Amino acid sequence: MTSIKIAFVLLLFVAAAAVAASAQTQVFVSGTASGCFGSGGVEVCTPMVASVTVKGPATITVTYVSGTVIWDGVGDTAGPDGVDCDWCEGQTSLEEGHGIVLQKKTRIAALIGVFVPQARAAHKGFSPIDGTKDAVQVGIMPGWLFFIGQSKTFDVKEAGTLFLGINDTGVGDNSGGFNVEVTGP
Amino acid sequence: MTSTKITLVLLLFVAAATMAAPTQTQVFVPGNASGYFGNPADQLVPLVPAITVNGPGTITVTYVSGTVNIGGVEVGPTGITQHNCPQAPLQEAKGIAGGTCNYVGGLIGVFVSQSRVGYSGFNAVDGTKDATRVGVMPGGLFFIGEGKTFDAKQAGTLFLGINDEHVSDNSGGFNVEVTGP
Repeated sequence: MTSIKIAFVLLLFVAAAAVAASAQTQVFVSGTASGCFGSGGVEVCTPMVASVTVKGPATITVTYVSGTVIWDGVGDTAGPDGVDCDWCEGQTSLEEGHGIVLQKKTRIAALIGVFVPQARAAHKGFSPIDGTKDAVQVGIMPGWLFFIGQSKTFDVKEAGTLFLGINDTGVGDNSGGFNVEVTGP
Repeated sequence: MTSTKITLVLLLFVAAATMAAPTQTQVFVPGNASGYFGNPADQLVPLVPAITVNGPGTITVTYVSGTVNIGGVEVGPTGITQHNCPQAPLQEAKGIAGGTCNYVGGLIGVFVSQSRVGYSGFNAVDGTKDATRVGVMPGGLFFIGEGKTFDAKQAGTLFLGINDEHVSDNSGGFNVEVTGP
């Protein structure tokens, strides 16, 4: 076998290995990345964070790595599962996703996600924020949001992008954030 | 045949006819019944309940008469096209905004499952605006216009409304006939 052939075979091997290996990435989800969901309005919020894009049906795993979110003005903190809050008012992102307002808030400052089909994510004028608040030309529907917490593995049926964010009623007084590992195909 | 038998047969006949006959009702949809959908929504007026079905069934909505005045413009159930509009209810339903809005002032509807309608604290208004304990999700809104027939896959209630976000200066309304199973 000539050296050219050997090099060619090695290249093929490397290429095949690269295709088989799953994509793994780490992202930082800021404590203010609510995507303007929840009743906090669109004045003080930041878009959700793009984590992984898939080109077709796939399995995606999201795993919390480190970090906390300070979710109020007095320094209360939360991990990725969030915290319950008796005195909190308004509508959280996940409540908006269900079209409800609970008396006692749960999962405040928790890690949440939303998978956006490629047709929408690639649309001109798209931004990963609430599409029901007249704040963006093309946005995200609240009903697509889901809780992630410490970890979540789920299947997607089409090409698209997973965005991550924070479940809160308002993020104007938030800080900190979560380091998250995301694995895709 | 005795009178008892005749009565029984007649009762069965009436019962069968009653079961087979579709439910038909007329409702009035006021020009400001936007259900607080759209942005910026300026008046909280719930959508109008039109018909409730106890299970899967076909529902037909037919415009009968009336016009809605949207800020000085008279429109029918198909509404009008507006350029550079903010976010009409049907745009909110798709998570888009700006540009051209179709069917502004037109007749729209949403079918809400019985499990949601029957929930304590339910109101037929936008559930994403912190305006009610249990509300309606915008993604379910659809255009009706002059008429529409669709299949409901479960028990629930059809609500009707107007595709406009700025409804405080609206007047008039649509008379609509609704037929169900």
